[in-house]
Amino acid sequence: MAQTLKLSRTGSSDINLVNASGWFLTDPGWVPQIGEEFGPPVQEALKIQSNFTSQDNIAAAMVALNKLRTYAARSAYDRQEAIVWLVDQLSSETGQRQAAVRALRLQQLAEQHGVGGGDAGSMVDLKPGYNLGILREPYWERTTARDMPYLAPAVLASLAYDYTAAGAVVTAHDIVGDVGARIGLLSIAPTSELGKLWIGLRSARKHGTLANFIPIWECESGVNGTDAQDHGDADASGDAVVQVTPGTATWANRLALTLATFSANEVDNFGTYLWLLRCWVTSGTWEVQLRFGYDAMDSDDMVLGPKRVISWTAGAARCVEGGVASIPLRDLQAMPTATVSADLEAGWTIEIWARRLTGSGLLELDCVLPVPLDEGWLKVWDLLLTSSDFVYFAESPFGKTMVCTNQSNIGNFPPFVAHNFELPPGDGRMIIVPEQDGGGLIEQILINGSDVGKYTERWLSLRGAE
Amino acid sequence: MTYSLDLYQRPIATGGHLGNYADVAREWQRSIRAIGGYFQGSFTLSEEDLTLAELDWFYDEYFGGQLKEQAFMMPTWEGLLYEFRYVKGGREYRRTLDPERWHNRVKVYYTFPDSVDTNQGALTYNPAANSFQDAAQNFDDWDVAAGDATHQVSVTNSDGTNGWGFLGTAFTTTNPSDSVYVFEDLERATAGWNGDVTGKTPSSYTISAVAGTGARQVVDCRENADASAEYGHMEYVATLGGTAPELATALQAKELVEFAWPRSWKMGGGSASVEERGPATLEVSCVGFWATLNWRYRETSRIATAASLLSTLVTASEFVTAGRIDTNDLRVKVDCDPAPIRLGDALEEIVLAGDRSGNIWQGGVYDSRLFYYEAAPTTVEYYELEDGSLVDLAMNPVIPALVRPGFLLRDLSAPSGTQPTGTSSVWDDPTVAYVDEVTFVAPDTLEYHLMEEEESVTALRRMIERGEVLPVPH
Repeated sequence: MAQTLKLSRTGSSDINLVNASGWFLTDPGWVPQIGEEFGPPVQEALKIQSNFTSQDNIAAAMVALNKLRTYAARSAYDRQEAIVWLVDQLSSETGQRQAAVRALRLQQLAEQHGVGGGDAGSMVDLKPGYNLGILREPYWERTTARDMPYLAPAVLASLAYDYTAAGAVVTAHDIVGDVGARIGLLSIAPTSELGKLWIGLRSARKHGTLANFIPIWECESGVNGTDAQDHGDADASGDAVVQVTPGTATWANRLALTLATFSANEVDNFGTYLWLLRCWVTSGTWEVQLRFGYDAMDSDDMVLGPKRVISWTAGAARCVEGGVASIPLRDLQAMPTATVSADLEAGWTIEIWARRLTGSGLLELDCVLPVPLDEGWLKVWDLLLTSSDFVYFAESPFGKTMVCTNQSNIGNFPPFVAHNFELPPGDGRMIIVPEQDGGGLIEQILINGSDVGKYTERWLSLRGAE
Repeated sequence: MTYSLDLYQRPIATGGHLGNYADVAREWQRSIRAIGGYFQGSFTLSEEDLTLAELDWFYDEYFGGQLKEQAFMMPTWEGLLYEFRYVKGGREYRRTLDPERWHNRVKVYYTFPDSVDTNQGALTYNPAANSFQDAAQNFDDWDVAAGDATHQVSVTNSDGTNGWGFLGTAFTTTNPSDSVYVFEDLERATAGWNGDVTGKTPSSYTISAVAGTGARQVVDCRENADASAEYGHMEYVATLGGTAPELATALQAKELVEFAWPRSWKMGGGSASVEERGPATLEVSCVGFWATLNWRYRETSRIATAASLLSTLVTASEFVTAGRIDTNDLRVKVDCDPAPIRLGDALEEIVLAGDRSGNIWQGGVYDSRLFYYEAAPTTVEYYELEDGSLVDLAMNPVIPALVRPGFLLRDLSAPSGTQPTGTSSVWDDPTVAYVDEVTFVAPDTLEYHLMEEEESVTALRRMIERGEVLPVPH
């Protein structure tokens, strides 16, 4: 394999820094710096020299290099400027890597040879040399993006999208690299309408067998508490809800959901989650609170989620953000499962407390949906999508994220919050919870409804054969 | 980034997402109070992150906009852009929603003798020199033949101008004593009028006693509707001592002219120096929607249970609605005499009063501008470890942005002391304290403040002294 080291930009000619006429690397011992995950940009220092003999050719090489300096500086703040990439591949490295360049700096070498002026005797060999400083992103990226596999819609309140699985035109492929892959595009479309979206990432590296993760905890599978009973409902996940009759208007434990009810593979459900409660009232208002603990605990000793007021009815069902809590609640570094069995977590429990505030309506509890928080997540809201619309998420090579919709081309830029929303190496899932605009029935979504999603794997140093 | 800072149009407008400023909002921090809810916030925008044109646009167009923070995918704070301090090119400009510097609905209360009579019939200036006639009036009751005047007349002309003076002797022009001589001064030394009478046509008048006991008078509300439509209603009640109606009206007009719009004020003087200027910065102060409760006044005194009165006061606000108001049958009074009281101030005092058993209550404005009112908790929710860190009951470190005040904190390294005899209340546990305010300092710092119980006791005593909390009959 031939060594590659070049500066590249769409719309400009590549500037090769090795094995080419023009500029060449004079320091054979140069190796790229190693970045840090989420770290600052990396500074590379190369010694380069021109091997042209014609002053016009030297000038052309200088002009080309200086143009890239200008473009790189502009691209750091001008989002419409094409990015300058540093492309690298060691002589026996299988794959090429590229890193987005923030700035190029030139400094004349002390031993630089002259390029003109004076008498012929002072014009030594017309080979100017420079220290070339390159300020680049800390990650090397794969030079071409991979496609996200297509996901057909399914009637689920929460679904686990396997972005490493085979698709119609995509072969199964676990994420490679040593840091998360940058999402170049995630395209999601509703089959009916979409108002809000929660997505959490879950990797096999951290969380064991992904297929054992339970993304939907049906309320009707729990232990009913005060004034609560199961009730069939075709609009609900699992076609049933837990219905809480008015009874008293005071706080009471209406339902308990215990991990063992849903999974015997406790470890595969470990993680930190935002807990969503899908529910509604038949009329009036209720207040709910999720409490997190273990089945043998006194309710007052549990970790309390925020209290939320529910005023929407079945046709406008929504998900309540019921708090952040981990499975297990113990410190796994102090008390690992190797010393204390994960069986302890069989009793991990969510209690749903509720009280009626106004009116005489019923509270109907559909399901609880854990959205993973411990690796990366995205929430988008104020969406107004219908079946012909799409919402896009993308991250630039400079780490800037954005979300937009395609209602009548780009319809709007809805608010969103994203944290480390990058695909962890290895096998992984996106846990996706969609909610209709203004609440409603369970929404079905599809991935790659319009443009095909893309991701680009990344490395902190060398790529090798990955 | 674990949080977003989304800016929306002003609350008087509908919708309008303007962008997420989390990346460029330097030094973002905000506080939440157990009494008040989402309270204050601040951040700085810099020319190092935004262009000067973008900063100008932000200063001109986004003032008063709504700011909403979401952390870990949950709503965690919301409020308004309340004050801007913009420094560029060595000059400083400010805009503010401080009610003393911005109000578009003004009412004036002042003290002035009650009117004893008004116009009865056809009015004429000067039927004889320096006199006034009401053809259907009899001025005998108020005229004076010797000594100081006892009454004055204040006339409104057909063009809105005024003339006024002190009454002398009554005389007959058409009907008995239907006319009266008018003097400029109380001592009746100079015959004539004050104000505008020459060439004017009188349309109405009032007679009032000069030495009578002052009574509370009001100049009815006037509004700059354009300003209200753009920013919402900011009421302002000016109170004056004894003064004339014309001055009260003039003050009202002046307030509206000067303060109806939250205009940009250039601060300080100028400088001709060409010294190096730093990058432009825009310091933004925010307030939660509790502050908007003080954009309106309560003008009628009322006695009711705390819960009932709170509900009434919240309903009277422009932007806040009741989320949950728990039952509290403590009778309280909102006292609007002699001066009206701002809604937020009235609410705060009621919440501070607690309940009949002396328990602490808390209330504030939270997500979606909903007001919540409830008794303070009676169980511990968080622990403070020896190293100063804050953990939940499962010993997991808290997520700073998600913590709300109004909780009991047990200090695990505190001297245990002794619980007073006869009480098992956690409030009497010497290792437990009530956290009444938290401040999140981005990206990951939490500061919290412990309530000194004396604060509520003092507030309650003050209210009892003023008669605003009534003894409950048993």
